[in-house]
Amino acid sequence: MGPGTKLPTLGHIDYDTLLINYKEQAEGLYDGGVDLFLVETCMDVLQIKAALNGIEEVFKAKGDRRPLMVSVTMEQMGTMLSGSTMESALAILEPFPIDILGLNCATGPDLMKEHIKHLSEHSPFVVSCVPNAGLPENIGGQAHYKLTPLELRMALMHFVEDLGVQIIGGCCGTRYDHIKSLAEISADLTPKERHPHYEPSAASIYSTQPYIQDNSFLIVGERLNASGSKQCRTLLNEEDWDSLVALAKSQVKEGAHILDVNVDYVGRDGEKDMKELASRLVNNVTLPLMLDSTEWTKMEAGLKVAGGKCILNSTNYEDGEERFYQVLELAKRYGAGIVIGTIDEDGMGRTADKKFAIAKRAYDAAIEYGIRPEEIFFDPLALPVSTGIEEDRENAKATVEATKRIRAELPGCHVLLGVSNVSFGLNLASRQVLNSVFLHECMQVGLDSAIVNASKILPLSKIDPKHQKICRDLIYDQREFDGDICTYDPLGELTTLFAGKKIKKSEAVDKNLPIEERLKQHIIDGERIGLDEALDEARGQYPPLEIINTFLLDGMKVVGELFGSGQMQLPFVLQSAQTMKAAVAHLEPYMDKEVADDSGKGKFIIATVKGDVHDIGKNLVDIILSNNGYKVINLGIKQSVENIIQAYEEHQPDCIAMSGLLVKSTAFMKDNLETFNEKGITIPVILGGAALTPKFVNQDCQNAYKGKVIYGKDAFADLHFMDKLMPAKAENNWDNLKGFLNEADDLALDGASEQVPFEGENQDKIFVDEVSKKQEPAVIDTKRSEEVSLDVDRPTPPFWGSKILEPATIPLEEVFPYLDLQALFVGQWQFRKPKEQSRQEYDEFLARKVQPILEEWQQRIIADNLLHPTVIYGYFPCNAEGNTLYIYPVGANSRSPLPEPITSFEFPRQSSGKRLCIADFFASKESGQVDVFPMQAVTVGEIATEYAQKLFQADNYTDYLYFHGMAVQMAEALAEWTHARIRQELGFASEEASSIRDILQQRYRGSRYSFGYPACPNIEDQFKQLDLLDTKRINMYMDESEQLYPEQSTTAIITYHPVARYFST
Amino acid sequence: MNSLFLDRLHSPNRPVLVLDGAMGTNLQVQNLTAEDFGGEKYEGCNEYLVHTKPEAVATVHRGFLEAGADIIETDTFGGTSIVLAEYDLADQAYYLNKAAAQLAKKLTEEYSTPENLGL
Repeated sequence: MGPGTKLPTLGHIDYDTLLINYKEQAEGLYDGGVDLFLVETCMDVLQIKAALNGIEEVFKAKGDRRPLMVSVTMEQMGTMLSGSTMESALAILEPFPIDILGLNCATGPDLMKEHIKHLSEHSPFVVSCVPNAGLPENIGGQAHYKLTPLELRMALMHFVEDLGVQIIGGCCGTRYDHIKSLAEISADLTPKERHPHYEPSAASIYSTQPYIQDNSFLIVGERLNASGSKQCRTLLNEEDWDSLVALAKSQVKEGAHILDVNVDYVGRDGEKDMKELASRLVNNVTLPLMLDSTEWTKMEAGLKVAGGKCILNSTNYEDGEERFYQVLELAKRYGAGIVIGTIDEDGMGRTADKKFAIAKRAYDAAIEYGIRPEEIFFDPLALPVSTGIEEDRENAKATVEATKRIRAELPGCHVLLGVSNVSFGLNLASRQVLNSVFLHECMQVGLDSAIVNASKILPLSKIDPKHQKICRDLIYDQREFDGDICTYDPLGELTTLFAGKKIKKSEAVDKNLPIEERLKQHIIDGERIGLDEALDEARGQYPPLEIINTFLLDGMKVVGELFGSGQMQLPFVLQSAQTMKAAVAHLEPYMDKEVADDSGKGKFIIATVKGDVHDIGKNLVDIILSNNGYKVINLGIKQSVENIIQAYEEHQPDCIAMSGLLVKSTAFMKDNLETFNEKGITIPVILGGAALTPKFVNQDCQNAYKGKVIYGKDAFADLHFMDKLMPAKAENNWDNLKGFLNEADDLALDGASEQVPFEGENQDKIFVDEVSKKQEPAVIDTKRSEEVSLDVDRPTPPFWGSKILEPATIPLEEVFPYLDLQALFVGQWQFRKPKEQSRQEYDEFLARKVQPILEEWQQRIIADNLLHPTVIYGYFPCNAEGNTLYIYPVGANSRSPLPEPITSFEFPRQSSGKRLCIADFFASKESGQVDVFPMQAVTVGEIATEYAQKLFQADNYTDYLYFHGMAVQMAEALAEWTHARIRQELGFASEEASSIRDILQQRYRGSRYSFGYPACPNIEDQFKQLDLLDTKRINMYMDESEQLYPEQSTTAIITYHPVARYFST
Repeated sequence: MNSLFLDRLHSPNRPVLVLDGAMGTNLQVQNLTAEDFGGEKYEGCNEYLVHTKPEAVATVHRGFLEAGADIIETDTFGGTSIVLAEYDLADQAYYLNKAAAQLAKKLTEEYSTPENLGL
């Protein structure tokens, strides 16, 4: 049974019509006597549900079943046509009574491997794999398939023996010979034994959300609730679907894992509303949905448009058993999780005993009905403790106790609460605190999910211990009495404590603050909303320049202090700078021309030195200094010393800053300083860049320059120096040759040298001091290392020579998992762990704040086509002799005499220890065997540089930092991806580590080296490498200063020898 | 449900079962005429062949059974009435699916042995 031509998730056809169609087909097939129902080439998860339920109706009518198989089609881009990943498709189908789940069509076996691997490791069903005879190639308007029967056999053999696939076959383009070649060996194959582990999850059509969250609870976003939120109700009544979708999206940002969707509103057609809203959410939001209604028909209306795995909220015994089972039936039929409230025919359970008794009754009934415990969420009801009424006093305590008992005595299930009800009626500030403490108490006894406004929950560490105690006393009703008189009432304490207090606004700046404070707060918060009004108000009292220099710059000063003490992360600093920029732009029209053109607090020239195109560090300095009132002349990248001197003469700056990321840039900086001496320049010079060390700057570079050299650890170090320099100059306390004339400031000048570099920064650093010192030994040691075994199988590559992979054939979704998140989050985006934060708190921060930024950028990069991944890789015949690796023309083989080598590479040998040398990893000339030398060159395209520039020019500083970091790390990830492909093609896939973390730690066979790094330090060899790969075909080249273009590109050579690891010589 | 298929699939030695190959590709190489499809109007409707030229479909089934396939697929990929409606055959959906299943089933019976049934 194929997918048909219309997909329900895209709105081509409705669920019910599709189901009837499948039912009719299934009935014919059943009556014709089929032994197995196969729903194949599935492109839309909702289509699968309609097909399965159509078939089920036939089974029900016939009173018998047949085996069921589902086969999904993963497109080249790595998802189903509807956008579902393998992971989400599995989560959605796992509840259904199917026997076999696998893949067919769209691609050849190679692109199916990752998906099959996922099924192999996680699917409870038998795994099938039915590929096309390769990717279709369009020849004269006809699809041609090139995979030979033997190739299909080899690939599927691997899937059977290494991944446990038990059903194999062929899809488009496969002929009798293909099947014959499979049938010939099938009897001799034994599928690898699998031990699948499935993690119970909810899913949207795009992605999954495990029910059990590590270190957290399952956060159900509560704001899309018409029965609970006035805003939502108004939007629904206006049928403002776009705003409702926006409300959903904002909860994604706030950290929700699942979205509660409730359209219960008296007087409206709830089924229609649910259909309208859910069908929009499905295609616009990546989170799974919790369909929330008191009426099962509304839940079903949602299930018919939401193809993911939803949770139904909720069922209970309030209206008797019939309705209770009605919702269970929906959960079963559509494969959904279910929330069960502790309410029965007598009403809400108030005591712990009653809550538990209802839960126990429902648990037994649901399990008997065929719902598994891990799909059940009990809601033991949070009722207010805030009313002061005696009978409400134990409400919270009863809920905590019931939670504890449910988790202890009803194995496998979850507990979910709508937390905020506990504080009903209190003011917002006290609600936030009480809700947070109550949530924490419930989590201690087993609560693992909650319906909350995620942004309004405080970590306990942010709540005063005294306030925590009062909340706990309220929750557990720890009132104290003297006779009948209450001497301590935590409820009274709490209301007094928070009387008149407001929640610290995190979104907008409080309009009640005095205007001066408000402006400062706008800058600190990086808040643009309300900024223009505040500035206009301030203009009534102060001249524009004073607004900038006093209030706005005061804000920037606080930002700098917060950054310096580790309390503010760089991206938020940039948000403040962006706001500063906007504020100045708003005020500019009102400033006198002369004043507007002035040189600010001081003039500053900055440039990235010759041969270096890295400009992010330099631009961050520009952003921070110019938004702190300095006039910055940003010369750009690859600046020769002549250009810098010319700019010096023209602008007469107070300071020159030179930047560069490469090791060799540090040498240029030193040379430049000597040239400055010759030209008589003596103003202070700041040096910045990842390859520098304080020692190199303060000793080597300082010795080369008559004026003062300062180590610019980061943009704020530069700012700090300028903030000292300018007043000192004004007070004649600065001498270009002697530096600061007062001691305190002089200490500040050297202070930077004690700074320890941050983790995660460029590793080149370690070698910089040795660069100049290294001397060639008199006699070169060329004796092979005995640590490197000669006795390894030499693999045969699938082709010789090189091959281009164009962007269209490189799904970014496949590359994303190879991102080194540590390098991205800490190295590029500079979200560093503040000292006072525990590792766990920091990890929570990353998960809550930074992970969503990453996801947003991944989506943006795909949606707006912001990176163009392109790869050339290939395999070249080679032999080693001593420290030399000879490369032969394509076609050279072990059977005939070797032709002349086309080129060769010399590699250094370690002088002690294992005495490793890259050449040793390859078959030697005397072995008589030609070996394979794999190489790769990858780029994310010129667009990476262009788009980053665009963001910088438009003063989108934060986005600039994010995108630049993504581009750098995506080039690295693409290199990992390509290397993995090479390992697979050489037949080492079975030696792969399964996690990215392990892959990034080289837990795989062999190693990958780039020229310029210690094991192969000769960067000029990269010219030969680019020639061999013929990279000009993808516009990749290296210029005379050994800079690779496009900027975000990397190249590597690869060895498959198991001994090969990174080493230095 | 009694299912020889599931018994074999889940038997302790976990045999690898071979599904057949492409129906469309192997019909295409037979260079069928409009007439084979029951007229120009139905040309390209592979599902209709079980009615108009069952031998063509049988040839594909037989080819795969000869090749050693353990499971063959009925010629019903586009067998829902929504797809058949493109050829004005929506009302034939039940009949065509049943005929396709009977045809395939008949051929599997010819090729069934105790071994390939796992008996």
